[in-house]
Amino acid sequence: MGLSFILIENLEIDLYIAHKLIKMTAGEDVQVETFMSAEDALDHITSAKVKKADRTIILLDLMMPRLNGADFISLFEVLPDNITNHYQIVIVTSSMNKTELDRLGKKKNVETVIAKPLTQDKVKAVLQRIQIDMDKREA
Amino acid sequence: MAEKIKILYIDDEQDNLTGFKANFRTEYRILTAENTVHAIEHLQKNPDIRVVFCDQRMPGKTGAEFFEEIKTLFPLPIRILITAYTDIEAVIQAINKGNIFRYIRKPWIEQDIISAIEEGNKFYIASSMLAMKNEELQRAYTELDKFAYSVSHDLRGPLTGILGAIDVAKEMSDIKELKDLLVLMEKSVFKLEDYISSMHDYYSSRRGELKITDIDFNHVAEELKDVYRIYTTTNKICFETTISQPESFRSDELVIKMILNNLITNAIKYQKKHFEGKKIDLNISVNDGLATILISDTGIGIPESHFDEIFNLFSRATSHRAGSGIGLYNVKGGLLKLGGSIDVSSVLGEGTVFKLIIPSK
Repeated sequence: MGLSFILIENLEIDLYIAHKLIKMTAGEDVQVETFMSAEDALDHITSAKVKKADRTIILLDLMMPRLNGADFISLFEVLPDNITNHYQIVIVTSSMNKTELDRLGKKKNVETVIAKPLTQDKVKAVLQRIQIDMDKREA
Repeated sequence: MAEKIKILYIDDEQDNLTGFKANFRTEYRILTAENTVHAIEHLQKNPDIRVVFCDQRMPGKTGAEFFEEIKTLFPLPIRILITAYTDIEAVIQAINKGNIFRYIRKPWIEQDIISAIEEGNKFYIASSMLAMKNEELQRAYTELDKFAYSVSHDLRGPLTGILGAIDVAKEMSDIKELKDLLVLMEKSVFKLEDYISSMHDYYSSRRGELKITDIDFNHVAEELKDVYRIYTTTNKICFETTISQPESFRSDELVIKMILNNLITNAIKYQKKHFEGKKIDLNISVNDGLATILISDTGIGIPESHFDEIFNLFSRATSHRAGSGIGLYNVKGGLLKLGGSIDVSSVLGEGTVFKLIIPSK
């Protein structure tokens, strides 16, 4: 399996938009899993039963009740490499807290940070980035 | 007359203590101690001591040393040293270090003590007021910080959602899909509206003065039923009210309505999604000048670990439903103004009961 997506977002409308945009950009048959809470997403990621795609992009919202995006990253980081290697995190946020965003953007597993609202152009740019990155690794 | 001012007097000579007490006990509430250890016990037990007199010459510790020590431990009470003329050096030092408010020469005369207490008390009131105002300011700043933080999420969040939806809608041609998107956009707009009206509640419940009138709970309950009929019918929730009000009750109707509105909206919002017997019970009984209000629902419940924090500003106990985290904070604020209290009990997956007790004004 090639590329797949996990969306973590507690706002229904943003989840819907992200889902739609990914289908529009990456194709209707790309696999997309959606989660309205970061705890559920973490359970899914750590579950042994889940068949891992070669590469899964996690679109992660930051401001969520209970487990927020930053806490999710801290818990994700300490997972074994054979799990984390399959994932790249893309933060999608309306936060304007530059210090916090810079700090999170520098994390090893975080690919990039994008500002809400998510648009087709932004999704395209992320996909391009990741494609180039994958090509590089193969070469 | 207001409560007597509490005074602590420390002297190692029992006669002085007795004399002091005999002289001033009609005007003031006098506590005495023959050593500093005992004095500290008094200070611990009586945080409302306003003025402390201490003799300079005592075995073990001098009065000035004692005051230096308690200055940080008990900063509020006003410290006055009682001393003979020969100890004037110690007095000057103590005053210059800010350890004492003034000193009284020994043997003291009644007039000196009374004037010291009155002046000390004035100073005490002024500095406590200042401390209180500072605390209020600090609280206001913290809330402002939280508010600024939450604006980016709770106001900006739904807005960027709508913007994003418009952007996607431009690319869509399927009417069914467009309509789905409109429903989501509508929800975002409602969320914004909800947020703004709870901010309004927040400010009016904090700033405004209370307007006390007679309250007819039967009337209030009927109004609530009317307001929520559309929600309860469409969501198949059975909303029942039981009112027993044999006596008149006086309070601020707007604040009471704000409290009930918040709790009932929550009871509607946090119902279990696919459950047949959805119910909300509002029970109000007035007895001996106390209104006891019970609001119980068959909702998703609140985990016990969250009981303490649900009344905090911007606290959210669940990630599954829309909520701003202001509602219950306003409820608590409103009850505080009315002199009432609130208790919550809840079983996860079964429902929640809020119990309010509000005194008639």
